Amino acid sequence: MFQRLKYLIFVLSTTSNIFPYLFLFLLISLVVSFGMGAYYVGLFSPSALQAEGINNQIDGGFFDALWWSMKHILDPGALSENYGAPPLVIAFALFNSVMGLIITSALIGYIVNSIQSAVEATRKGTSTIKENGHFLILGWNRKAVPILMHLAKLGEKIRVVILTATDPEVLRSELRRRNRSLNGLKVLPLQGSITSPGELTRIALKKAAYVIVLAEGHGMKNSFSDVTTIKTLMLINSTLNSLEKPNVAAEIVDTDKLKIANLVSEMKHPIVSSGQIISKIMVQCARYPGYSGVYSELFSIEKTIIEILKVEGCEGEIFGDIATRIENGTAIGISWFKGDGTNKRRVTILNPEADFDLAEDDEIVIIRNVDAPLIVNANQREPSLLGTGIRNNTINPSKRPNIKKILVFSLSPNIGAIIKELNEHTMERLQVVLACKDAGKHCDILASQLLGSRGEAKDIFATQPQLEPMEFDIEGNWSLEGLALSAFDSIFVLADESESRVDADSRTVLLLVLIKDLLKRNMDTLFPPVVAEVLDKETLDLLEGSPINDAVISTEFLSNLLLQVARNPFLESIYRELLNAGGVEMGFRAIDRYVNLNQEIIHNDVVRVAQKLNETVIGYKIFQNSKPRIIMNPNKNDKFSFTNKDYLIVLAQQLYT
Amino acid sequence: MKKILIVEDNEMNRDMLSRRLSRKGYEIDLAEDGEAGLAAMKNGNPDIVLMDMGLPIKDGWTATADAKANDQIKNIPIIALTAHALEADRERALAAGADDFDTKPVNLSGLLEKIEALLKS
Repeated sequence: MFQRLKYLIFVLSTTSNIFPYLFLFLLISLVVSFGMGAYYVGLFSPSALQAEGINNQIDGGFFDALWWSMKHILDPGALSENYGAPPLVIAFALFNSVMGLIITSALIGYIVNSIQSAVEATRKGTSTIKENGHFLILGWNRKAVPILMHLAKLGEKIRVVILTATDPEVLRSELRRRNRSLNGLKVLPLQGSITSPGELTRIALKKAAYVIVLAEGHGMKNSFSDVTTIKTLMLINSTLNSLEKPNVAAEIVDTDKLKIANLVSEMKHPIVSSGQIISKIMVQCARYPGYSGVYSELFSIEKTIIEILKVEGCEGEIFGDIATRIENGTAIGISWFKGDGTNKRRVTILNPEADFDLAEDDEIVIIRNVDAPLIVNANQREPSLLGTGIRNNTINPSKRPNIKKILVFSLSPNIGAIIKELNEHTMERLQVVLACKDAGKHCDILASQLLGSRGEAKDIFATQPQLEPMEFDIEGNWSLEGLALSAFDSIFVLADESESRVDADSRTVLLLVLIKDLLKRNMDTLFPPVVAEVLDKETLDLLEGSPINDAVISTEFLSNLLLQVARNPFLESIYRELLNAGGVEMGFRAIDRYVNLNQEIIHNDVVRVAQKLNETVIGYKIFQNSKPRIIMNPNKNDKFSFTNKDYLIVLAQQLYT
Repeated sequence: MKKILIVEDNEMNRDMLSRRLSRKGYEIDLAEDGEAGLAAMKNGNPDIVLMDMGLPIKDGWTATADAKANDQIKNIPIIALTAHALEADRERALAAGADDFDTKPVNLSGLLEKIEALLKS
C-alpha cells in the first residue's frame, strides 16, 4: 500500500506541474482537519477557553475549530497561547505547529526552486519566445556577430533570437565583447537543437520576419554542419508550408551539398554556399586586383541597396533611356514574374542590351544609396555640352585578364572551388603550385577531387589543371628563397584552419610578412597580385603595409550577403550571376577606352558610351593621391576628369578574347 | 509560329533571349546543357537552334557535331552563340557544323536577321 502510494506520488510529481501545489494543499487540509479534532478533547472547555483567550467565539463549533487549527499551522507562535490548556489540546496544537513548520518550509523550498529554475532557464536559454516579426538566427558560427553588427548599424528596432547548440554563456560573452558595436540591439540567445520541430515552435518560427540558418559549429571548415542545415531546411519547409513569410536564407559550407540543399528547400529559399562565394570572390579579386573594395561597397547593407523599381508608363521604352532617367541610381537589370500559380517565380536579368524594349510588367533593378531617396526624371537626359570628351574609338573589346599560373599558400577547403573557378575563366591549362604541409599528399587528394567533379563543370577548353606540390610548413622548416614569385600570375594566401591550435589569421599575417620580405629583396622584379583571405575584420589593421592587393574578409562578405539575401531573396540570383564565370560579370575597364583623359565629363555621358558597348557603368575606381578610391553609383550629373590610372567599373558579358 | 530552341547554361542569358524572342512572336523551348539540347532537338521539333558553345556535360561544339551526324535532326539549322570573340572560335563553331555564328552579347536585330535567313533557306 505504502509502495503504491509512493509510486503514485512519483508518477504525479514527474508528470504534472501542478502536483506539488495540490499535494501541499491536500497536506494542509489533512493537518487542519486533524487539528480540528482538538474540539473533541476539550478545545472549548472553560480551562482551554481561558488559556487560549478564545473570547470572541464565532459559533463555538466547526468554524472556531477550523480557525484555531489553521492559526496553529500558519503561526507557530500561537503555541505559546496554549499554556494552561488541557494536555490533549496542547498535543493537538503542538502537532499542528510542527506540521505547519514543515509545510511552510516545503512551500518556501518549492518557491525558491521555481525561481531558481526560471533563472536557470533564462541562463541556459530554454525560455519560450513570445515575439512577432523578430529576426531568427538558427545556428552559431563566426558570421553571426557580423550579421548582428550590420543589423545594429541599420538601426531597425527588431529583436533577434538566436537558437544554437552552443552554450548561451559563450554567446553572451561574445556579445558583451562587441556590445558597443551592437548599438543596443536586443539579442536573445537560446540553447537548443535547430533540427527539433519543438524548438522551432518554441522560437515562434511562423511569426518571425526573417530567418538565417547558419552552418552550426565552426562554419568555415566543418561540412558536417551542412547536414544539420539541410535537416533544418526540411523542417522549416514543412512547418511554414505555404506561408509567404518569413524570408529564409541558409548557409551551406560544402559546395557539393548545395544541390541537395536546393532540392530540399524546393528552391523557395536562397541558399548561399559560403565556400563557393569566397572562392569566386577570391578569383575575381585575382583577376581584377582591387576588386574587394567594389564588393565591399556593393554588398554593404549600410551603404548600398539593390532593389526593384516599378517605373510607371515604361512600356515601349528602351532600357537605355530609362537608365539615364534615374538621376541618383544605377539601372543594372530588368525583372519580371514568369509563370503563374505555384510556378510563379521572379526572373531577373542583368546588363540587358540598351535597346531592350520594356513590357508593361517589366521592372527595373537598380542600385541606390541607402540614405538618398530615388529621383526618376520624367524625360531622358539630353547629351550634355560636355560630351566632347567622349571617345568614338570603342569598337575593340577591352583586354580581359587571363590567369594561367597561380601559387596557393595554405590548406583550405576552398582550394578545389578556387581552382575550378579559375579553370572556367582561363583559356589555357591552369598551373597550380600548392604550398603547404604534406603538399604531395594534398595535391593527390585535390587532383582526384577535381577529376571527380569534371562532369558538373563546363569543360570549354578540355583541360585538367596541372598541380605541383611545394613543401611549405610555416611551423617547421620553410624557406621562400629561390622561389620565383614573378613566374606566377597570381598568389593566393588562404585562411588555413586545418590545425585548431594555430589561429588562421595569425598564420596569414606571418606568411604575408615573409612575402613582403621577399619582395623587399627583389625590388626590381615585377610581382604578381597577392590575394589573401582573412577571417576577422580586425586583422586588417595588422595587414597595413603588407604586400596584398586584396584582402577578402570572408566573414564580413558572407554575413553581409546572408543578411541582404534574407531581406531581399531575389538578390541571391544577382550576386550569383555577378560572381559566376560566364554570363554577366563585373569588371574594371581602362577609362581611355570610353572618354578622353583630363577633360571634364558628366557621368551620364559615360553611361551612354558604355551602353553602346553593351556595358552598364556602376562606378569608378579613381586614383587620388596615388591611392585608389571606389565610387559606386554616382549621380548622373556628377562631373569627372579622369587620368590614365582610373578605371570604369562595369557590368558586361564576359568575353574570352 | 516558328519554334526556337535555346541551348544555354546561363540562366540570365536564357531568360533574356527567351523573353526578347518570344515577344517577337517565336515559340521558345529551352535546354541547359548539350545533352539536354540534343534530346530537345529530337523530341521537340524546333525550327532552329541557338546553341551556346560553353556548355556543361556536353559542350556546344560536340552537341552541334552530334546533331549534324544524326539523320533525324541534321537539317535543323543551328546558330552557334559564344562569348569567344576570336575568328578561330567562329571557324571552330562552323567546323563543328553550325550554320551560322554570333557572339555574346547578342545584337538582337542582327540575330533576328540570321534567324530569318536560315528559316527561309
